[in-house]
Amino acid sequence: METHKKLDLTNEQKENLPLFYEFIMYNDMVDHRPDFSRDLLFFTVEDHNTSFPYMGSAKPISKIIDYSQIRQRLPGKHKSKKQ
Amino acid sequence: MILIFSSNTDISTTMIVEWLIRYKKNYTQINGDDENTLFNYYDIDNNKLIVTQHNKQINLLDATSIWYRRRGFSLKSLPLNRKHYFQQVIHDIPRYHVHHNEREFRSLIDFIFYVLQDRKGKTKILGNYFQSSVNKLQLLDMAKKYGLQIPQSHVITTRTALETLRKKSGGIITKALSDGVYLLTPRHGYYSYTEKITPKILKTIPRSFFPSLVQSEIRKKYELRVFCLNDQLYSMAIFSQKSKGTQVDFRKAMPDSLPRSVPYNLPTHIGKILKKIMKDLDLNTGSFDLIVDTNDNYIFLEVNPVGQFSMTSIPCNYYLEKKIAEIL
Repeated sequence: METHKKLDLTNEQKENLPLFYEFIMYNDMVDHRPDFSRDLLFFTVEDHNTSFPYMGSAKPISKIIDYSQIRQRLPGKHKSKKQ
Repeated sequence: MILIFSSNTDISTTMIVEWLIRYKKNYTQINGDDENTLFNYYDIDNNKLIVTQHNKQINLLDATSIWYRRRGFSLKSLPLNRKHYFQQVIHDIPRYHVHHNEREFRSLIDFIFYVLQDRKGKTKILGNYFQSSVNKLQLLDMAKKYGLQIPQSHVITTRTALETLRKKSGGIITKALSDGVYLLTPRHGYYSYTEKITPKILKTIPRSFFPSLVQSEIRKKYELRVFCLNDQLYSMAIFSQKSKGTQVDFRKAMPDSLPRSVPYNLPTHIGKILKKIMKDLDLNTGSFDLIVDTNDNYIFLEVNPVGQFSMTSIPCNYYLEKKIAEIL
């Protein structure tokens, strides 16, 4: 699924806007996406393999951290000094 | 009571509030993008600045600590009837009263923050409402005067000037003169980044355009994000050059290719200049962006007084949210 889109500006509009408007990207808010689900503590977007903790905001932001990457970096087993 | 001015979608604020709860500190959070807090009245004689939040009246002048994170108040802090609010009032100019009301409200908010920030000595204050948006060009000039290198910067309005600069500098980038676009609407999120102007893009640009900031592209070794909190600097190096997607702006990182970000020892002489800039701007919190180029030069880009700091805090284990909660 395409997540980022660019604004469709006419040449006439561009003449009246700063250059960086040429590059503005937008995406659908995650809670408006069909693959969005929500339980008590986590929002999940399946095609990103991503979940993030519920932050208590009225709306989850769409910039998200891929926790699967963090999990992969965690060592498998820890041994405490006592052991 | 700790008073926090922020926005509903700011995760750093939420993380700090979690620490405040952990420390059993009493706080009130006022968001500029929700309707939970309504302005009631200001009584100069009796030192009362009253808002209502969840049907409870709160005197903001009871605050012992204030953190101006961002925004805080907006027209959503007033019980307006939106249907009638936008109805034309002045015959010839449909939205005259709306713009005028915004100026009226801005005067009120400016005064509220003047009163709150005037309580230095009586109240701990982090952040500065009056310096929440710093002029980028003024900052570049200030950094240059202090001896920091800055990118070659131009404000131009024509494609001809753009082509000339591109030939002269090799690579050029553009970004907003003030704040970029970071807009969350009910359905969409809109973002602007620092962007490279390639020959392909150049062809799509009209002959003339609104005044735009264009800078020479710098060959980066790595980027630095330096968060300043009460004269302490917390630095992070971001190896954004490794990925094509993040070479021009590391914020464009995809979740599966986040650039390596590590704690960084900033040279003392650079740190001293950054602290001087903070002092000149009357700021005690702010996020600096710098680049270290391929010749190991430190190049100043900007400071954002209300910039994100959890993106520095989390990868570097600085626990800035905890530190801020402790200060408050």
